[in-house]
Amino acid sequence: MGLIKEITKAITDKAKEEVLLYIKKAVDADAKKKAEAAAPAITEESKPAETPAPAPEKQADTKPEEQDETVLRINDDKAVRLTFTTRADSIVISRDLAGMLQMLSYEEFALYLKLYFFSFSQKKNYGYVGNSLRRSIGLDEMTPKQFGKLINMLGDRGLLEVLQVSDTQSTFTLFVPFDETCMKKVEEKPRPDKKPLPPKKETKPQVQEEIKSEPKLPERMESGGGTPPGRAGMEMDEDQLVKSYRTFISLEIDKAKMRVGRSNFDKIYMEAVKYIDKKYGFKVLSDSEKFKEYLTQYYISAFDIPSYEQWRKTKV
Amino acid sequence: MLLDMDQKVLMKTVADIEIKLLTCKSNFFWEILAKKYDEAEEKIKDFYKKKPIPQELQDALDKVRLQLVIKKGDLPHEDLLV
Repeated sequence: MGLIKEITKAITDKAKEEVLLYIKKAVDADAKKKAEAAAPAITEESKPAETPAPAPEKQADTKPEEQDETVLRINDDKAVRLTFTTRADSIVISRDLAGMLQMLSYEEFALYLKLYFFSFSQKKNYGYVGNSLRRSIGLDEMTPKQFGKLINMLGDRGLLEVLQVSDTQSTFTLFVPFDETCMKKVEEKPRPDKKPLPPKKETKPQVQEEIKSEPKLPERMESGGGTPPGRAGMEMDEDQLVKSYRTFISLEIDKAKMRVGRSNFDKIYMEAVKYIDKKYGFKVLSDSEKFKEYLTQYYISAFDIPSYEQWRKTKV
Repeated sequence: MLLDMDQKVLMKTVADIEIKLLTCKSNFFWEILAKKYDEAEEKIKDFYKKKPIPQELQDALDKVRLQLVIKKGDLPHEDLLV
């Protein structure tokens, strides 16, 4: 009996050991499987944090910087100042230009096209860069900073030439393929002076262009030079004198604006609009450039600002 | 009858400008509307040629023009050439 008991005990002990071993193996196998399943996820997560991922991130960071610094130039032709002799029914984009435009980002593309259409509507491919231009092409919502950046980008691409005229003012010349049937190049007079500053050179034709369009000022511009305000002895040519006069008018209008107050100035503006419409017709009102000319004249007369002739006499 | 129909079409062109003028907030948009007005006026003149423009249509044109002028005065001031 005792032997049978011993045998039974030995068998159950062995069975217990076997079962324990089996359970241990099963548990180990599960743990291994779990570990294997978790391992790729961990490596994927850890990888970007360690070596390979930082590299693309760095590239992504550096790419825009590089783009800012070096913008691919897509046009090597010089932007020449042009005036449009006829107002064509259709605005044509040449194949070459279309090819260039295809390479632009959508913002640059949009800005170029807006400026292109604007050039055709104002019959010249140049003008001042500023808020007025931004608003004229319908980009009121764009910030001036963004606008300036895009203008510079187009400049870097070779589709636009920006010239700093003064500390605060700059001009642009849009690249427009020359078409002799409807365009005329603006002649740039070589300066006889010893100081041929490039920005001044570029602005000369524009000032002359504006003089042509202004009925009052140009007739008075024909006689010789003078001295600039507050700078006796320094010679000043006619264009510079006109420029000084423009600055003078601008300052006088600003002074008048402060003197009469904002609400009164708004009323004066309203009166000016009505007056221009009545006297020169609705077409003048809807032509931005002409409207500005007549508005300036209205202010000159409304605020008793000296005429160019009178002002010039005080300066000579 | 046909003339009345045409008159309605022309009136609608003018009325459309008047409605769009309500939402006009910039000089840029105003200029587009002003051009549309010019076109509408020319279209009407061309249509009637030597005949006098019906009073109703003329009144509508005058009204929209006045509204355009007033709106121009209300909009942000145009920068000067200086």
